[in-house]
Amino acid sequence: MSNINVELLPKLPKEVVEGIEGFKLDSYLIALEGWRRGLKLTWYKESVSHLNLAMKSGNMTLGKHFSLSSDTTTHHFFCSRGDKVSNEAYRICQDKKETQKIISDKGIPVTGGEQFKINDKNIYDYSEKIGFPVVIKPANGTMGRGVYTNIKDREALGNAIVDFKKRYSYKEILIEKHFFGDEYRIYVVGDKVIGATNRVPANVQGDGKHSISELIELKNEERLENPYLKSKPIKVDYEIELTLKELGLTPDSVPGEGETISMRKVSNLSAGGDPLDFTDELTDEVKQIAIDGVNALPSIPQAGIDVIVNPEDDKKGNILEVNGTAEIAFHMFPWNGKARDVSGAIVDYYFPETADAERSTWYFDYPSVLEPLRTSAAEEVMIAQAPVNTQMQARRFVVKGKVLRVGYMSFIRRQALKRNLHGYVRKVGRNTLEVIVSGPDEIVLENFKKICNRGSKKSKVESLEETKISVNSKTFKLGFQILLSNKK
Amino acid sequence: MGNFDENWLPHLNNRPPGISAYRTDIYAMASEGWRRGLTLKFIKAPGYNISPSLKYSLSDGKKEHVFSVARGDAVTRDAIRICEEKPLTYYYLKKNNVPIPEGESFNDTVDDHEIVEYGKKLGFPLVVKPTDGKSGEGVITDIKTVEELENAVKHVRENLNYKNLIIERFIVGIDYRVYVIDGYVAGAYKRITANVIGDGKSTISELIKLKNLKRKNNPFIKNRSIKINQDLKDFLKSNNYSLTSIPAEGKRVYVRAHGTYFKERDPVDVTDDMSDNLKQIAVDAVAAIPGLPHCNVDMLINEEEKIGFINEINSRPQISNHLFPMEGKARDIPKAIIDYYFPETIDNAKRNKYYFDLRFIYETLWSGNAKEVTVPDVNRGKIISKRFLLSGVDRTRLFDRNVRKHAILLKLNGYIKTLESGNTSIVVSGTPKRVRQFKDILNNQLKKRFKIQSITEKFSSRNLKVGFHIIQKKNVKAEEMENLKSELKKYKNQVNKVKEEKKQLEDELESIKNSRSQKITQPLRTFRSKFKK
Repeated sequence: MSNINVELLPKLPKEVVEGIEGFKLDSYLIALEGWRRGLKLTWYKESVSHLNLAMKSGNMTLGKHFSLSSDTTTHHFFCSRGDKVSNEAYRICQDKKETQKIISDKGIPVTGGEQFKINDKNIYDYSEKIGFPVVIKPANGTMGRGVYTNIKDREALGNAIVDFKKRYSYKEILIEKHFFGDEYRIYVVGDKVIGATNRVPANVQGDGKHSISELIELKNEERLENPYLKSKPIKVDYEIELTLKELGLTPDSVPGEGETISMRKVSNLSAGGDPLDFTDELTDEVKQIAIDGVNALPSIPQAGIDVIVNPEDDKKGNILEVNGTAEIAFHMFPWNGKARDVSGAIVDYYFPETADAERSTWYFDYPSVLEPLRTSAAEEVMIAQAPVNTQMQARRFVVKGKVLRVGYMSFIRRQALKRNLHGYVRKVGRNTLEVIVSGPDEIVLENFKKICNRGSKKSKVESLEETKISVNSKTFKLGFQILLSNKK
Repeated sequence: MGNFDENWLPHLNNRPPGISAYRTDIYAMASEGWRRGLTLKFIKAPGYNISPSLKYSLSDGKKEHVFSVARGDAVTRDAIRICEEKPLTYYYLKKNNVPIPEGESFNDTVDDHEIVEYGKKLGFPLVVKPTDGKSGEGVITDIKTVEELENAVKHVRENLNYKNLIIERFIVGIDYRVYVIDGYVAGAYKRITANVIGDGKSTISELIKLKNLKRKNNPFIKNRSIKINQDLKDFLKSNNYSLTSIPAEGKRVYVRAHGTYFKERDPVDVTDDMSDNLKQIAVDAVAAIPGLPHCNVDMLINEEEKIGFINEINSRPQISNHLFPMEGKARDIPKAIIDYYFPETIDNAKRNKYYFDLRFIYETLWSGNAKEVTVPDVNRGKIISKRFLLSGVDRTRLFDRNVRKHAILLKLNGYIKTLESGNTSIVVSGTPKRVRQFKDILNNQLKKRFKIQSITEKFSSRNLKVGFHIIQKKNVKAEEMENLKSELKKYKNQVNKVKEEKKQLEDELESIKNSRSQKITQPLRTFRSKFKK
């Protein structure tokens, strides 16, 4: 599956999410969205006492716990989950069995299943009753850990349980009927489906020239371009080798042109799977099942819900589970298809009054903001207000002369920060620097230009060329940076 | 930190590094409130030309007060304005019969001639100063003649570009700074002209060196050394001294003319020496300004005649000189101010022993990303600190992070570092229960997982930085590099000095060669040198 047909959100160019991964990316995307609409954004250190959102013990909250405030209200978030998701609902979602029971009681189709102790002999009879093939998974697991699918008979079930006991420490497991058909992750906010993603197991597409291991390498390079998938390469492990073997292939086989080789049974994105946007293809009926499923639970206005769509009738589907703290980033950075603005929908829901607010295109230095929080040097850090593009002006100066290695760049940075100007300075050639600067006040910018022209003590500016540029032509970061490399 | 003067406040010895000048004031104030259990928040003030642009607030959950250096929000905007405009200050002081030097202020509509005429009428000696000058700029004192007065007026108006100015009688006196709060004097110091005190052994030049060392040790004036220059040599000469004179033990020798080189003066505490009458003048002055519960009063005091005048009222003063005087006792102005704003915390005797990283916070705000940073509250109940010595553990990134995670989840402060012996030291501080929990985790979970050979437990009494910090092993090579670099710098400086000296000697040589006596005696010397051979 190639990603040539991907359509990303223009408000999120790569540099904005550079270096941010995992659940931190979910947090950051929502925080950034709220902040860009003019809300007050505060980050908290590890384990503050007033975080009232339920979570698993030992969960680290740094960089994932933040709050957004308007003049009248404040909402706290942990990863993608805001405080409108009740702790009760979150607790229910942790328990797949209970979730399914509540949803099923409202007449909404679920995959069903029963919970057993891992050593319970009734597992086998129950499986016979619902009919093979079955799936086993931990009763309260996450991230696809310990999920064994398509178990065809009693013997395979026995092997799976032995393997499960060897690898995992969960004592309770769920037995479900294996439903064939594609599984979709549907993100619901309020009573709307914002995004639906088909997560496809790790795969490569042949070109008739490269071997499978070469194709994996090429694909991983391509994945680096996607901010979400960047940290989730396909790694050749035992499972992949086994799957290839079953297909009669080795890593050195050369698949034909256009031939897709699926290399895993699990579709986890962290194991190299591809998130494909399917929002527009999903039928309204299935979407309604997802919405009804979420609404069946007490007070959970935002959730990611897993639905298996019937391969014979795409108007039918069964709910697998509901995630209270679902990842949102893959909806926003899909491998293929259209990016869906989940963070926008979430902020719309919590702060409807900001739906039409003017959006800033600025971003802030998330990693450096976390630094004092990481060591507990600070309890909270409130981010400076997002500059509104229409109130800002920008300039580009090209400075030539003796400006390198004479403290000129640090001097310029100090002067810019003193004036609350944003931008950067970088080397663009021998004895040549480029200064990009933005601020709200023409007089201040003019003044700053004079300072660039005058330079620091040891520097000697020969010429300064000025161009007015549009604030929208660049994605500005708060503060003023000295860019060391020549790249980009 | 070098030596900490025993007259200073012990808790201020425990400051984070990189704090000097007005940040010393901010740290002293903010930590005073924070250590009492108030919530401390630093705020980047809007506007680029406000210096220092860092404000902070203290809150007890019910009320919050915002401070700018040592000025709290009980000082009204009007009061600030009155203090900033000297004519207004004088108006209020005069109205309340507080003694001020006789004089008048003039705006740009009055011409120089008229001002000089007024000065003549007032009588010499006089002072001329800009109406809105800051920190002594453009103040011309001890004007004795009409000509001097004309020049002074011209200088301030034309060279310094201050059109509005004040002329007043020059009072022969000493500069006092009196801190008034809530109707009493909390501290007073005077600034005396740069001086050294003899020990009967050292020369003046050596004494100046010693004095500069002492100044370096003072957080507020550490960058203001006494510079030995021609002025200094001339002044000593006029008092029959030279750099090589050896003053008697206990003899104070001034090295600058009175009223010059302000930055080289010494702050000396005089709180106990000041008479009640003079203190009352300062208190009256503050009471004369509406909405001003605390501030510094600049007074000119003639110690012989025991009279004093108000020179200026400063609503946002520096308080470091009260905290770090060169002579006399330190006065705890921050305590007085926080007592005033949060009287219910006066008895919070159990103050924590932690300090916070102001420089780090400052950098976070300064980088432009953050607007407000809140400092973590720390437990003020029973706190214990323990040090665990670990042997045989490999300090991997994973290990460090695990230790920090457990410490932070247990709300413990402290650090982990490698000792010179190669052992790892973990210091944690918090409530006894939590420290015990940490110990259990260390002994049960981490010991096995990271193959720690042995754990020895000790009490620790160190003051700690708030938070849990991973102190990296110093890279030996990086350290060597640093050392080499600093040495290189030293040598370069030496080379430059030698070059300068060489040039000076060459110049001298040149001038000797060209001098007339040399030219006249040239044949004789040539003859003599031949004779020598």
